[in-house]
Amino acid sequence: MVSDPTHRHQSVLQSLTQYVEERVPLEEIRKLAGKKKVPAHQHSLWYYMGGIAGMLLGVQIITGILLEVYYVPEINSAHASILKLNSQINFGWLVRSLHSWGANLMIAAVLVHLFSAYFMKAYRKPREFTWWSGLALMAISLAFGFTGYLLPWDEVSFFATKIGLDIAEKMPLVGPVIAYMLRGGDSISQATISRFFVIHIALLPALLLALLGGHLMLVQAHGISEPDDFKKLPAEKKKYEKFFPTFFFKDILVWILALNILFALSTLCPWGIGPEADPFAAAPIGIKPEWYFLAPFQFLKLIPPAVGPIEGELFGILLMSLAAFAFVLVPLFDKGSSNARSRVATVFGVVVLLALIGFSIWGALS
Amino acid sequence: METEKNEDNREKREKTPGQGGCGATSSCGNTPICGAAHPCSETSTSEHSHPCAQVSSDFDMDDEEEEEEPISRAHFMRLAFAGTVVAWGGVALAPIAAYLTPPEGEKEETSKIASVEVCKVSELPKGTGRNFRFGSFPAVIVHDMEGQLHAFKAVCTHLGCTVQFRADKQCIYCACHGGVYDASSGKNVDGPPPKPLPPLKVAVIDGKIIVSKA
Amino acid sequence: MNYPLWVVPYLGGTWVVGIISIIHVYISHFAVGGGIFLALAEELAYKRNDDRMYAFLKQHSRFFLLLTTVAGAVTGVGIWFSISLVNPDGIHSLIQSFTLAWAEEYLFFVAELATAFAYYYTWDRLPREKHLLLARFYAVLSVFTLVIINGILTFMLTPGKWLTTHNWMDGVFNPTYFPSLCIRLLIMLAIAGMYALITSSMIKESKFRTVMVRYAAKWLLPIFMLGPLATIWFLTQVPQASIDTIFTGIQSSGVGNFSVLTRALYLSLVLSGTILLFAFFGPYLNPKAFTFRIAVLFLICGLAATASTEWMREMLRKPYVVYNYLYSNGLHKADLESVTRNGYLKQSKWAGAIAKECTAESDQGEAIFRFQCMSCHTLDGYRSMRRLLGSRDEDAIANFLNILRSTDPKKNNYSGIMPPLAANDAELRCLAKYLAGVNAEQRKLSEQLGGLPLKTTN
Repeated sequence: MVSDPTHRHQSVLQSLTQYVEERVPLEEIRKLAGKKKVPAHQHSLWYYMGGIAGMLLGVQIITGILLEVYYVPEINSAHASILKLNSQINFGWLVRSLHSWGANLMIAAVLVHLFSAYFMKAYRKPREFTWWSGLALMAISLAFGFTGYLLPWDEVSFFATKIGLDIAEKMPLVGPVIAYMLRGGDSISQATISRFFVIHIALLPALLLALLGGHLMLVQAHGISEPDDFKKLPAEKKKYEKFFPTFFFKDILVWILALNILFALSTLCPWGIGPEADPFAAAPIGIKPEWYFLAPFQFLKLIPPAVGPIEGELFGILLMSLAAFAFVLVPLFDKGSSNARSRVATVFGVVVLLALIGFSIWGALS
Repeated sequence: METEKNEDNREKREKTPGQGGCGATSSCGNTPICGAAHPCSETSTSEHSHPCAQVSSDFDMDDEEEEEEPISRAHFMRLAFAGTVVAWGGVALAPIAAYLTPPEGEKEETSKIASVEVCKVSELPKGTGRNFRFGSFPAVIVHDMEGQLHAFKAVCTHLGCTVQFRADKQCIYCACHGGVYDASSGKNVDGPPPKPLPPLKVAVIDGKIIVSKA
Repeated sequence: MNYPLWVVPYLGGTWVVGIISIIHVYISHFAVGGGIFLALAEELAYKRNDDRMYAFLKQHSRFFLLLTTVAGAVTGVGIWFSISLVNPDGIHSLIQSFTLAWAEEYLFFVAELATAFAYYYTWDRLPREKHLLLARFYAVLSVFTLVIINGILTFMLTPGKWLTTHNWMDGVFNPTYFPSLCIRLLIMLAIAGMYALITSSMIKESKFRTVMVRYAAKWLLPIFMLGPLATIWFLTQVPQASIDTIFTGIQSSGVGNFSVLTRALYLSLVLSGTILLFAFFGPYLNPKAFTFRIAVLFLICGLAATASTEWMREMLRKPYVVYNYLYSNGLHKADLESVTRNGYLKQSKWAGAIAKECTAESDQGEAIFRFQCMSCHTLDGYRSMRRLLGSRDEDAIANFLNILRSTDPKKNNYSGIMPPLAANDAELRCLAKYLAGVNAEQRKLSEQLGGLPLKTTN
């Protein structure tokens, strides 16, 4: 009698499992997960970065949806709605802080993921499309940061957007059109808020999810990339971990750690809000963009007004675009057959990374 | 906190069937020391059943044990662990529920309104009616052919649509499902409405129509 | 006010005490929890006659002994040094009330140490059942060191009957004594489990490691099953004013000092919850892949949770050192009225002596600042005065200080988190003059920029 309920419970569970399994290809998924292996070597740490970025994306989606409940994308109410969120709504401060800090951490995680893939030469054949989709995802993340920054409509967000769009305007041919379309006119106004809002909550999420789906599918198709020195090892010395459950559970642990960092930042330094934007006020002293735009900002500050016949800003933008373009072209340049080319790619990566770090620190200190 | 209590109840429920096998469970969860003592008695089970010690095999592992005991200690332990995890995870939903609860003071003050001025009598000829706002709900006023004024809450008693006065049929009509009310009494005379419209009090002061709660 | 005190720039004296104390908390909780762990695990090893487990315990106890005796004792003495430098008036009150209690605590501590050494150095020398007895003896003694200090710590939050009787036993066995004892014991078991995870993760043989890792992981369960109940019990005994502060923090702004208590509480809950998840998905479900590196990360998580919980508990007491008796800046609540009437410097022995040497008004102000404000604020670092003053001028500062003098929460909405200012009118003026000198540069800068309005947000 005592054992009866548990047995019945078991059989209900079993029949339920059977019902699902007959209709969903669980078995194949399980087989696929069983086959998947993760190389275990001293650089394995970097394999966790994509997962962290993905987990943070989940946090962004949840908190983003929650924020939309109270946010009003209207020029006279936007700032007030954030103030209300920070001061009247239960846990409003927490949701907003999680979204803001989460955005920063996600961009950081995507950056680390990108550079680790770059230095482990994960862009080589057959993973070119994975690499390019990854670059596009990086760009989308930055676009998320840029559009989301305007929405609270406080002093710094207004000027950051103004400066950002003015820089975009400097691009030859398409610049003025792009800036005009994004701004919805000649100056930042209600139209800009509406457009940025739509881009931030509808356009970019759709793009991101579609691209991310492709990115992940490619990762499944090709398996996890192995760095050169691991590939060269004799077969018996190559150590692998099963993706499921070993790596997967470790992944969860790393996510928990990342979540802890996010919660600690959000509770110890909750995100504040500056005074409401006033399009006719002077820019506040010492205004700076978010850290992920600091490096280009500082770089442009250094360039003289004119370099030869070209306008300084334009020259700077062209130079930075070239560096970015090199990242797109790198799979075509370094195919793994030439050691010299591989070394050039590594050195280039190191230079760009050092420049990014250096200019960011310089920008933060100046 | 609520979830935590449920968790405790569940723990007790799990204990009962397991009493035969594990004496340690009876003291488990009452004092920290005994609670801690419990896991150690568990290792003895887990050790001989753990040559494969892998998670995938872990879930099937108990099947043989269950033939002897309804719930083995290892099984109980796993349930307790997983249950506590779920309970703590559930706590994360509490802030979201609190967040989505609208802040106080937002509730419309207007629902407390006791009377409202509609219009002048001269603006509402005999045989006509009009809808107006009474605090937080719509209301309808009718000036009938006999010159009497009647006011009702204009919410259809069927499914809550807003009703209107129809001059052509001299009745109060609901456009959604064709409910018909008598214009002078508010009685449901045709169609699906189950109840008459709640009436409001009408007074004429200085030629102005004042409607108040009945 | 009656003793000289130590001014720590940037960090603030409180954080010196805080940092030393939190390290001490980690180690002392490990000492007690680990004592119970060693006793119970040795019992298991004895019953099963398991040599591998004996070898493991020997290894574990070496690490245990080194950490608890050396670092525990050093930080314990460190707390005494730092609190008597940073808050001498507070420690004065505690010593006066609990001389006997502390003497007993010391006895237990010495006995605990002696047993610990006897325990470690008799591995393989005593017969196993005698050694087991020693382990049990150690576990009991280590719990006894908690019994006293827990009374004094909880006394500070809820002095209870002591406020009227002044009997030290009433102070020790105060309203939050038993709930707090439960919570601490549970935390100790969890910390013991986490340290044991570290040593178990280093076991070479994989099968035995799996067993030990799982065994250690289960030590985390009691706190998560019983912790919430004990916490509710604890909170029912806490002053209502502190509970109200928690709820204000949920409903209103997350920015600023008012809500810091709520944020700390929430952080402590989140960190604790993730520890449970971590233990479940890590050592419990996946013991094979539980490496030393992960164990260390896990321990860091756990210690962070403990730290935020302790921090939260400390903040519950704001603005007192001993609730409703002694303010956090060493001012007795009972003296407040007479001090405001006669002047702070006149009534305080040390601060008054210093002020006698100062002729300038702003120097007298500085003396008041040091004794009344610097127990929580610094000039440039933690809770920086330069930042908080903004570009207020002397009159604005004086008006603000006047608000701080009130004990009525309606007039002074800082009354729940800051001690009231105890000064007569002339002293208030001196303090304002001193503070106006502190933020003079900022004021000049903002005047140059066209006198922008005060930025009080954030």
